[in-house]
Amino acid sequence: MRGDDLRVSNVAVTLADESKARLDRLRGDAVLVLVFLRHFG
Amino acid sequence: MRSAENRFRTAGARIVLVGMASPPECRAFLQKFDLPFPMIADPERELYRRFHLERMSPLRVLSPGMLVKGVAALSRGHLPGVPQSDVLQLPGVFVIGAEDRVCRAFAPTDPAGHPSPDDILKAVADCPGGPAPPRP
Repeated sequence: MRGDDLRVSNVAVTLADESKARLDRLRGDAVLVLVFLRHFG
Repeated sequence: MRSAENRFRTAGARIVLVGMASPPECRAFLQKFDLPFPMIADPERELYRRFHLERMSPLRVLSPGMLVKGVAALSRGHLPGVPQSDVLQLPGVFVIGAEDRVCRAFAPTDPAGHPSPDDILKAVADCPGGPAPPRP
């Protein structure tokens, strides 16, 4: 399965408001649903 | 997804969008479509690569199947705009639960292959979630 080798604990990202975050912090206590979009337009 | 937001929240899931755009472009996108979700700005597609999301071949964009899907989208009132970023990048949905591991990946082979909210909610229900174990 794609991504099953990946732990998100240390993955740093930039949010739309330009703040930095880590994926595990975004998940918190919830199940995280990451939706990768296609191009805009 | 927006209409199903409450169902996701009730199921204990948090939706986060990822876009191939700069933070200002992502903010404009969220505002334009009035989307209540956090969004990751990934203009270099680093996260797309980390999750092994592929690019489709240019021939796939021009395939009869994609043409049919494009006409169907037009008939539903979805007018094409000027594409930004990489038009060949395929989308995807990943459900991440306990121990910060991916417990379900939806990685379609064409851009119209989105999973339905019901499909994702089922994956959420099947995913061992809850708090991650304490970190040192």
